[in-house]
Amino acid sequence: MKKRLWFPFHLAAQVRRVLTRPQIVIVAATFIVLMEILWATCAYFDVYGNLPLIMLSTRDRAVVVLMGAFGWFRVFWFHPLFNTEYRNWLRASPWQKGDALPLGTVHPCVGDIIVVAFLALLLADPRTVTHSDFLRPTPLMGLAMYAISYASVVPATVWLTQPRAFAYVAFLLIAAAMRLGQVWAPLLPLMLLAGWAVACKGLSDSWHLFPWDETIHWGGRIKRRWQTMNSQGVGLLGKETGPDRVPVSELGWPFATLSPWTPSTVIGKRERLLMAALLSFWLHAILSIFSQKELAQGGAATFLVFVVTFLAIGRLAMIGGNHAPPLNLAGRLFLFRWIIPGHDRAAVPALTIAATALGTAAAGHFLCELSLPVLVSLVLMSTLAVFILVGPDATTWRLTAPCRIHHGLLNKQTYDQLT
Amino acid sequence: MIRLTNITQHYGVRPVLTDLSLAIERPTVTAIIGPNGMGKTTLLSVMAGVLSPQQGVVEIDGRIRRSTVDAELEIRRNVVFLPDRPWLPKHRTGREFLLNVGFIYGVAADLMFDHAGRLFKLFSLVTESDWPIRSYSNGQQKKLALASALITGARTLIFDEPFGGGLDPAGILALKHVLKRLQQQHGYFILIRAPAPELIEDLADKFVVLRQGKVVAHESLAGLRQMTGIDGPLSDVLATLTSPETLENVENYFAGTES
Repeated sequence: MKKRLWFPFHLAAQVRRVLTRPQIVIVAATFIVLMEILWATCAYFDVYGNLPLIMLSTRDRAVVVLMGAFGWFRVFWFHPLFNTEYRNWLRASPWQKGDALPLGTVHPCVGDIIVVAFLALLLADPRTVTHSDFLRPTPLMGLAMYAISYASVVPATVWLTQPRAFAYVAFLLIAAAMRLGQVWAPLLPLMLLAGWAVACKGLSDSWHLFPWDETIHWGGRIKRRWQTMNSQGVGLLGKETGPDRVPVSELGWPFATLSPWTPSTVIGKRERLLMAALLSFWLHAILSIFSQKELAQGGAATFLVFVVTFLAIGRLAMIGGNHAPPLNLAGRLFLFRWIIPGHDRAAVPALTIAATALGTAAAGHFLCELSLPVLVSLVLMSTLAVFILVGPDATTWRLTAPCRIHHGLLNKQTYDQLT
Repeated sequence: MIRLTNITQHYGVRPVLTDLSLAIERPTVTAIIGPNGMGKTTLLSVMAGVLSPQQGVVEIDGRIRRSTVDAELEIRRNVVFLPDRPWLPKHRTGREFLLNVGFIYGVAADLMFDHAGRLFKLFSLVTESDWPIRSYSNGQQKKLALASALITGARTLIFDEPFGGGLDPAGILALKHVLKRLQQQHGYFILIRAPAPELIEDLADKFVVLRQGKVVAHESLAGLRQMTGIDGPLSDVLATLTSPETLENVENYFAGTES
């Protein structure tokens, strides 16, 4: 017969299920107690002016961050996706779909409620209501932080383990919660809960697909990265083929560049566009929170310049790589072949990205007078769309472009040092 | 069949191949020969897909190089190019390297393991097979590179100086016999650039002689002898074809000393 624990011990056991490392609890508790002692001492002797209040404010912000981190921790620590050894062991063990996970559940449970409720209670401390500054921590903010962080990582795991429709809907609902919550506050918890429910449903479905097809990737670079990680025995998601698999890029000259190996891309252009739209909507939702602040304007402008530059250069590098023009600069000049259409089309996507970003930003600002969050997300969406749609993909370029293929590295000595 | 039509290739402003057309029938062992700097490596690189010529078309077994993704992939599956100085991953073992090359060419695992073992034996690398490549001598690295080309199972081999790079006499002998048998018994199509005629005289069926970026001759040894009217070894025939001034230069050199 199963022995029932006495109530407080039962709660402690539940907490232990979600906080497996006592060190985390000890560090957090020490921080909170220390703050309380300092506050009580200062308040008792009535010294240091506003310092006690600042300390409480600092504690509250730390608690909000902690609540967000806890949401992430619950997924990263307990999901087998992020632990190769655990995943392999699970695959080899008698564990079946539907059984409880041996190291603890990823789904929200009683332990989560206890931990989150305790932290939210700290934020409800009446002593802190006297100060008012930007983004004052509140229990609702803490809860939202936890819910958003948890509900944004869970769809990521769902996406990586295949039932991607759930992931997209969950991402959309969470972003909508952030955006629409500003229009009508009750929408925030409602949509967050909906997003949460969809993410948890996707999570349940993903277990039914275990062991997962671990070949999802965007293209060569991520595939190579995963292969590298696998070759080092620390694979995240690549095929676990053991330490013998060498990344193709490491096979030297000529096999790294002239072989028939091509990365298979599972995610099509339509889905990439959908992801770009979601990303832009997320940016819009986040910027909406800060839209009244000057800081947000400067930050958004810097962000856009950085992202557009990165996308333009990245698009050029993606198809350029180790494929040089068929004629060098001197050859072009002296043979009057200043433009080689077959090769120089490589620059078209990068130029189009820059032109699109500038054009959209100018039109949105001067002609339509769009608000900052709308404008920034629109620029991001349009540049991402160009990034995805314009120009040849890396495989097509590698196999059909009229280029001189070179070794992709500076010289043999560098290659030898790298390998 | 490899067919090159009106190939022109410049390095900067210096033309190396000029309006070159050539059709090589399979299965043969064809040697590309000619004086230094006449475009032999460039010609092989164009055929291998390393260089995209400024003008002209390369067609391999009916597929045009770099025309479509499917055509190029099919060509790459069936054609392997080995440059004169390949770069090998130094921290990997020879076996790891061979198996991974086989993997990217889609060779079945059981065949690959067996073939790798036979290749190590062929090139006397059994002891070194599980050593890191950095511990191989130059000649052993050359042998491993040759083995990597053979493990791909590609039926068209384009080798740039396969007999160079420190290959020992046993390695040269093994390679010559392997290439000949692959061509005769398995229908392989082998293209070789070799500077020393005596190495390929008894191996190649056909010789493509290049001079000033143009094909001077594309004949068998008998055909070359008939062309030149010289019934001697290949080196004498080539001297007449590509550099008739060589013996005269020697005479001039000693004449200068004596005077």
